[in-house]
Amino acid sequence: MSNDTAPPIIVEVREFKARIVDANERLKELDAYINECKQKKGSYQSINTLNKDLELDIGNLKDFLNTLPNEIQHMMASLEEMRVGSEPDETADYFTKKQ
Amino acid sequence: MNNLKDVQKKIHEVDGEFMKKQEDVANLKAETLKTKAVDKLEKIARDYKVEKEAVQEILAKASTCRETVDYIKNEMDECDIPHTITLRADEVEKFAEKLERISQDFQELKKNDSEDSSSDTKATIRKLTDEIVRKLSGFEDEKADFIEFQKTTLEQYLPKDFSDIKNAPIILQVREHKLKIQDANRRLNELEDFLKQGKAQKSSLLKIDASNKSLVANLNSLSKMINEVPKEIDEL
Repeated sequence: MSNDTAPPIIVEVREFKARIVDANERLKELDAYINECKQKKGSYQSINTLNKDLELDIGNLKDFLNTLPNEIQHMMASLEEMRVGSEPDETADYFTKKQ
Repeated sequence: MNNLKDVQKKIHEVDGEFMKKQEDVANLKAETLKTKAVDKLEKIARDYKVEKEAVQEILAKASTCRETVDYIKNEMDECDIPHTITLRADEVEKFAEKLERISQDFQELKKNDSEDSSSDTKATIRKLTDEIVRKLSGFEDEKADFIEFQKTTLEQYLPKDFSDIKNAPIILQVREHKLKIQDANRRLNELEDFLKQGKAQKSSLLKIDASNKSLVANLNSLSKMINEVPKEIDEL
């Protein structure tokens, strides 16, 4: 029976049903989209936290590489002076240290 | 020194690994910016975790290096610098005492006890004393320099300067000061020997002068006797 011949109430019910089905379809899509966004948010949050930790660690490493080699250079200079000062005989300032 | 060289090698390794990781992390960041797919983002998050663990391993190596260096620095402490400065103070004091003693000895040499001696003896003694005066004057200047350097430079350093990581120049200063004192002591010993010889020379010259005088007097007496005795014989 066509819409033209069907009684108006039945038509109304069918059209209403079709709208509900359509709305449910879109709601499912929205649900899927929200889930995807949640997953993305979770991943971004993890990445962000890990990235912050990494930046901190990298900063510490940079600091380490900027300072320690210089410190070692200075200490080696001091030790070299002490080594020179441990010669030539037992009257040298650092002779006993050399022993 | 060898331990520090080992640490240097390890730091070199850490530096290489760190450069590589920095590059990896930069690539991950770039990938994150252009990725929208959930599964890819999850993979990137996992990769980040792997990189973080790798960087923490490098940090652990760096931390070991830092601990080793701190331990060595702690062992080095003040590098015995305060002790060596005290040694220099003793050496300067001994040098000053020896110079004082030699100066007193020299006063004896200078004593005006050669008034009756010959002009040659007087000239020799004058030459000796002039030379020693000149040398002593140089030593007095050196003594003043040593004391000034000791008081105004070495003894002005503070404990924090000795423990400072940049203390090598102080060790060098102390050693150079020591070498200068040693050199001055060596020359002072030579002057002491020279003074002893001078005193012996003066004593010998004075003895020779005295003997010479006595000999001349005896010769005069003999000459007089030789002149007078024949006359006395004739008279007899």
